[in-house]
Amino acid sequence: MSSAKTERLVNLTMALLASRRYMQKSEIFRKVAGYTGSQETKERMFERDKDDLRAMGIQIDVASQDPLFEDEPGYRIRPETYQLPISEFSPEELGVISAALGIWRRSDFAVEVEGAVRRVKSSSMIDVEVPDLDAASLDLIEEGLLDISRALASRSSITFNYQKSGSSSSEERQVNPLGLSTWKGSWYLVGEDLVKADIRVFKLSRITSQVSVSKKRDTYEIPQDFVVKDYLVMFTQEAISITAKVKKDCVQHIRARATSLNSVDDEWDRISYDSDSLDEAVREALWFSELLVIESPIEAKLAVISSLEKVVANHDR
Amino acid sequence: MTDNAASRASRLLDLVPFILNHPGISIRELASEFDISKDEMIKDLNLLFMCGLPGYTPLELIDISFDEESVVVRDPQNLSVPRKLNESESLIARIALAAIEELTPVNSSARSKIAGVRAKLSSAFNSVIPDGSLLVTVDEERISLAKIKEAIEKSSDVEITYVKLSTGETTHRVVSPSSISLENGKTLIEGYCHKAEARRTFNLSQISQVKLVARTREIPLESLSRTQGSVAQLSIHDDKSEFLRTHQSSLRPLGEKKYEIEIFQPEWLVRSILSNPESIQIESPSELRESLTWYARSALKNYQS
Repeated sequence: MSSAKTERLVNLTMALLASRRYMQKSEIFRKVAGYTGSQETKERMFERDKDDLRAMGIQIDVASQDPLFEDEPGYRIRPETYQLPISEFSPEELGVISAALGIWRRSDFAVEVEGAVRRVKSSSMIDVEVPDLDAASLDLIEEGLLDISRALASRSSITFNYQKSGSSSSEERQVNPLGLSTWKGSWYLVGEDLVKADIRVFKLSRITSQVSVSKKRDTYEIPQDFVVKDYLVMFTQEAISITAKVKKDCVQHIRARATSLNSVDDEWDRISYDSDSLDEAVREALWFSELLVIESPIEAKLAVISSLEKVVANHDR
Repeated sequence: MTDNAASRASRLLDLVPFILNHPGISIRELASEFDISKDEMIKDLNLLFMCGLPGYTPLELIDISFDEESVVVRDPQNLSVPRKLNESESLIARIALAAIEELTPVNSSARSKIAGVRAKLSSAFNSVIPDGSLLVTVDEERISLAKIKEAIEKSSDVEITYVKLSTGETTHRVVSPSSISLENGKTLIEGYCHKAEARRTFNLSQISQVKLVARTREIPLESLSRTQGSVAQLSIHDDKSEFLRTHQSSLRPLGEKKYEIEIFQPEWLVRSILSNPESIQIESPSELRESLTWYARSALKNYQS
């Protein structure tokens, strides 16, 4: 029974993939092996098969055969939506993808991506060195994350109980997920709260129930210009760009985030880097006082000088 | 979710291109690659035999020949190219790539390569999930800390890269960590340093690239006592000072805005005061005061030149 269905799903995929035209249901029932029984049985089989293939991530296009007549719709699978675009990725790049997927190996994401790992591997055949990392030690595993990422992938709404910060009880929320973000080892979901009709931020660790994912797919769209960062208060601070001279071979902390680096002379390099705020830039410059000289912005430079003068004045005796 | 027939169909569709790219692979290897038993793999191969294109004559069927030692695809029909990653798989791959990208130094070529793959992944798969929907940040200190905790629990050693504060010089060391403590707002790791052959304390923020390694030498960690540091006296006139807030646990109030603090790493204390200059005065020892003014004067000289 189960093996007959498996066979029929493979045959249906191959037939729809081979067809250059949209195949109508009657043609599918006639040509594709495995559709037997009454018309009603065949119809029911086909509907389920279609859902199964779509759940596997296979895109089935639907269109009318003849646009002039409102006839029965036809179905096909376009090779470009089915096949891994191997010509666009070098074997090395595919190797990077398969290695990156490896970080999930000890989590419940492993099952979700095992097929992907094999498919990418079957065309890369290359072992790429990537750091030996796993998702747990990167703080990337959190309860509910797999369900939410599945919902995001299929644009299905989710329901869960949520306990707001400062509240002692939780309430049910129904949300269309729009984006995911990590911050200091915690995951945050940004989504449209369907009851409050507004975009809200949810911290995954405050979800007190299972996340239940609606079976309906593609029920909403994510705007292409959606930016999860805009909704997270911890990221909305503007970064400012600093230019400074740093002593050669010193201040690795800041060099690590340099966006540009030039040598000035035997003693100094000039670097540019971003700081979260002016205060943060000044604090950092003071910590490395004699090893780093801020050149711009001028406000930061003047703040550092005045602080240094204060230190000297406080201790001159 | 997909039922058994669907997930098996998914496996069969993946088997064809996989065998095509690994001609002559043994059934045992193939089974382990697809995480099923040898018997199940043989059943899968027998089922694939019966699948094909409409017509279903030998010319239209998938042709596979196999024995124990070797599996070969003679005719894959239209299944020669592996399936695309679906939206969920590519989303999970993008999260992984973003995390790895975060941990790769900003101006390295590896980082731009990873970023490139990630961008390609969303465009090549026509993702409906925009790049802006995902933001992965990685806190390196937390990761290092988790690994060091693991090492303490497992009694193993860690190989670390340690950055010296003053010069930025990096050294590689093997350390047998014994404890983690929070002091002066800094997370400190204590343990036996095999490079220095002595007990040492390391500042977590100066540690990077922690790797667990097997312990090769037993060190009686508990018996090593911590070297007694000397004490500094500070006056802090602003009671809203950031320095007061972050160092609350280690500052001992002496009254009249005066506090005592253990000098654990002199340079660290001096730089902390420099970066929190709100009316803090070092009362004693005088060497510490001199060292503070030396840093400040050298810095001012740099700004004047």
